[in-house]
Amino acid sequence: MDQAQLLKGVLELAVLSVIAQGETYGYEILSTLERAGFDGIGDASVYGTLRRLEHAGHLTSRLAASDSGPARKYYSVTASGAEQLSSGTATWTRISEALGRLVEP
Amino acid sequence: MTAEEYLRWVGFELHDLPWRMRRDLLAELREHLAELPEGTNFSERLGPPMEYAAELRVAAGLERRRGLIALLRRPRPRNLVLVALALTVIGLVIGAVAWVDSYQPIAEGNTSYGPLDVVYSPTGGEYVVVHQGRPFRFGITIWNRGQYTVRVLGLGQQFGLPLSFRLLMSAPTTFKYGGMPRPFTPFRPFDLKPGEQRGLIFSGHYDQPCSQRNFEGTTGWGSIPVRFSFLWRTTAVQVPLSDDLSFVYRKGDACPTTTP
Repeated sequence: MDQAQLLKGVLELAVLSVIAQGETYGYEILSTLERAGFDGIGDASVYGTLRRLEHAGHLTSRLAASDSGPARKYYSVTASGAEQLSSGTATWTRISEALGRLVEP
Repeated sequence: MTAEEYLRWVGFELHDLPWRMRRDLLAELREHLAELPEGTNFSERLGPPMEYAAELRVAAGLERRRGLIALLRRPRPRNLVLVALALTVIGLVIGAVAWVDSYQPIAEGNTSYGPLDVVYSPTGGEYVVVHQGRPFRFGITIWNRGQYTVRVLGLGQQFGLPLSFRLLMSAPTTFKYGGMPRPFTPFRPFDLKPGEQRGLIFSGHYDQPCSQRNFEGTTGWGSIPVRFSFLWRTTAVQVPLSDDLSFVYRKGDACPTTTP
């Protein structure tokens, strides 16, 4: 089964989870996701998801100067994003438990 | 591929998106490329620019945009405003040139100075009989009915009338008061102000070789070509006479009795 396709389905939840831990920027979000095992996700998918979440009002952003180059865009979760994360987590837990019951012997 | 080249390629792939959106997406990509370790092969890490752009579109829910609105939103607003301004200025210039080229305020005034020995035809119009060498004097007023001053330069192309004449002009007057104020002086170019009129007088004598006379008919005079200039444009306008003036020939007037 294509792992990338499976991961994409939960990418929104994963991105919200990372940002919910504290204000952060694109590259750091990617690195955190990769360390967590989301290594099959393309960079563009993460940036596209960030844009979609921000457009939907679940994230807010600000630009801050960076020592390493162009200004960084820092994201944080809005109240709406926190609700989305909460309901997404509940849904994911239900699915995960259901799937666990099915696939475990 | 350098970061700038990669950005340019991705920008090209996203060219249909509104300028601000494209700018934000590329700014974030620029930031991302700067964070990557030095020597990173961007195409290997991110995929070819075309794939990166396609993946970004899918993840962000950005469909390809078509149509006039999308076309207008693609360029930077400042550039769009500049183009609109430039087009407006060009349009105004073309309009101004067309207007100047069509501006023609000269019309016949309300006074004329009839020829000597004129005969009024019962069927309308008037005529004179050509007598070689006899004096001829005729005048009309031209009137500036426009809103801007024009410069009257003289007569237009030569017209084949049986006359030798000097062109005189009257002093200026207004259409309201009319008349053809004297003294008449030799013509010199003059400014004709809005509402002003001035007489143009043909003063001379009948003069035409017998070979050019039309004994079977008449020569008509229906309008006077007046040359004028307005701004950069010089042109001639035919000022119609309120009544056509015809020249009639009589056999035997210093010519053989048979048509040459």
